[in-house]
Amino acid sequence: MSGPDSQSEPHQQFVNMSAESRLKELNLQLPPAPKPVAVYKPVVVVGNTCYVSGHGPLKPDKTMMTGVVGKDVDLAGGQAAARQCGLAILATVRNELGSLDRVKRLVKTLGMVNTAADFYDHPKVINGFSELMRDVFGEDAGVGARSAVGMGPLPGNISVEVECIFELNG
Amino acid sequence: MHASSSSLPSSLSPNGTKRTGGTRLFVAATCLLAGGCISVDVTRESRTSSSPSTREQPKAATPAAPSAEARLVELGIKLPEANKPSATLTPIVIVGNFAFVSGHTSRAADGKSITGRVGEELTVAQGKDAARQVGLSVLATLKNELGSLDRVKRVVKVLGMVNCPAGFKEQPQVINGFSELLIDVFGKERGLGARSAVGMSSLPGNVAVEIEGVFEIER
Repeated sequence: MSGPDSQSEPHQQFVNMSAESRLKELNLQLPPAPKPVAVYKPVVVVGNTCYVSGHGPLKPDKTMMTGVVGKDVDLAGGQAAARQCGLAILATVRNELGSLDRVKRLVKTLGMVNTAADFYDHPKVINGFSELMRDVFGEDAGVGARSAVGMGPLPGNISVEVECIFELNG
Repeated sequence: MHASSSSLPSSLSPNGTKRTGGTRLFVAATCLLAGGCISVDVTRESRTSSSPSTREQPKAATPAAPSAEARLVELGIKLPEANKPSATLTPIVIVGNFAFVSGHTSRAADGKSITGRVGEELTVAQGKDAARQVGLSVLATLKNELGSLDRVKRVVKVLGMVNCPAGFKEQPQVINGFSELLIDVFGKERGLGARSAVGMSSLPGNVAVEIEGVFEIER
């Protein structure tokens, strides 16, 4: 899929597939699971709830996508960065839990966009993340509560940072 | 860092959790890098974990827990239409006893967004009104999902985000518009939760306030 407005969503074809199968089917390349860069854990599991730390747009070459969205980076670039945050989160979750199939559903997302003060399209940017989650976990389990907001600045001038909560299978 | 902690009990260290006579005090401190605007809010929880609710009793009938629905009527509050789910988000997700509520943005009674930066285009009082409007929107979402606000056991945690310039320091006063509404509706015990009130460099559609929250609910 090319962007947030595409009509032919792959998730519709993969309704009954596991997240790991969908990942394969969609030919998604995950970056290496990011190591914490300061004093925090990438994931904390409490009961069936999995809290994921803020992740930046980590690329497979281990560099980050940087720049202020709406100034240095356009909307499409921001969406790509949000999607890359999602891939980094998937890498972390798989690394921590062994398999993405342990995820029951996406509960909540806080999407933080590095923006200029006059940028207003945060939801469109964070759709880059949300659509990835929907494609991987499905139309129901992959769509959760969400806040999409503007931050200035973000660590290392990354374009987007996303934290989220998953519910795990019992 | 500016930490506003006027409501902090004197016995409590501002960076910890302490037990006082069976009452747990929670400190929620969030340091979000957002225009240098940081605040700390404190609340108190006195729920005993060993008292499961009994279905036989009418919910929220004790003086300590007035019916939220009755309060709405008493206060003459009319809730707006609940937010609808979109392709990429749903306004609320229930996991066990917890309701996770998406960020709701400030909208006037006519449905139009309340926009502008608080401390620049909007006064603190206008920002506070905007936060109250967000509260009405959040209540509408809760009621729409749960059927009745009386299923809300308590506010757990709120993240209040204010669209403001870098030097603005009164985020807690703005978000009080939300918190005071929830206290009015749920009472102090159930309506007052952990909270962070912070400044954001920008918000979607230039709205003045966006607030997300976690609520404990009756299953």
